[in-house]
Amino acid sequence: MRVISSDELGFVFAQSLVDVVEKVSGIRLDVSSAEKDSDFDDVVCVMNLNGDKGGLVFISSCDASLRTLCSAIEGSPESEISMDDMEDLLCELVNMTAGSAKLSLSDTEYHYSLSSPLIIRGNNLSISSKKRVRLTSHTLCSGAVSMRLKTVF
Amino acid sequence: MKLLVVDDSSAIRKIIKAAADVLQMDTVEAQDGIEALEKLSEQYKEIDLVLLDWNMPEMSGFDVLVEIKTSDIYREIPVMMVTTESQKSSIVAAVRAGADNYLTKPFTVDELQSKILECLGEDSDF
Repeated sequence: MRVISSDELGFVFAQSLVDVVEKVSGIRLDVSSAEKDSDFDDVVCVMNLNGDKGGLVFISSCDASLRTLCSAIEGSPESEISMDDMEDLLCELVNMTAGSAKLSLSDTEYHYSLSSPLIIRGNNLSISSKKRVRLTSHTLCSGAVSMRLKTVF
Repeated sequence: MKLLVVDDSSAIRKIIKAAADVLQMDTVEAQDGIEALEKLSEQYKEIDLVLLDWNMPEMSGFDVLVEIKTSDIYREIPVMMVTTESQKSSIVAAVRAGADNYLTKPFTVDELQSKILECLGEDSDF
């Protein structure tokens, strides 16, 4: 069984999100583990990863980024993208990212099953944790699209 | 040709519909397993292929697959699972339950169109 650190675990999810976004939209996101100056978003999607070594995965973004991404994926003008469209896309990105990471982690101790993703919407949302929780954080950017991915295991 | 597209994500349904439009195929959509079986009971004579998500609320895609493949009426309709469940055990379970094909999310539009045509026994030179 392959042993990986929590940092490597977080990167598996970040790389999975990069691959998912590139495959469905053609947009290649660059990954950085550094927080941006303004780490606040409009919407967060969270999925509980159920299992002995389960955890949580969060992907957050702002409406402008999600609108751009939605338009690129669905081929609709940005003016026709609704809030429901953006939130639905974010949920699907979390779903595909968790599924892709699950396969990448199948030779490690991190086995989990997917659950229904939940949306949290608000102003200037941020995700933080108490010191003992292993929270990984990555920022993913490309042009007008910016997202943040966090994991807790 | 008509496809029944079953997925709780409207984004995925739109992507599949756009791909089907290019192939000049009609689509009927359902956002969960229960709605899928309702649509199937109404339109089964016209539906040539079911594209079925696995993880859905209310009734999973796997349960819908079992309903279809154990039905005397629907069992001949091909079913392609379109899902994030890419582990071998899931694929084997779907094939054993009668799935005719399997496409893992994320997918490109080209991959989707090729799989649809493969399921329908059509030439992929579209």
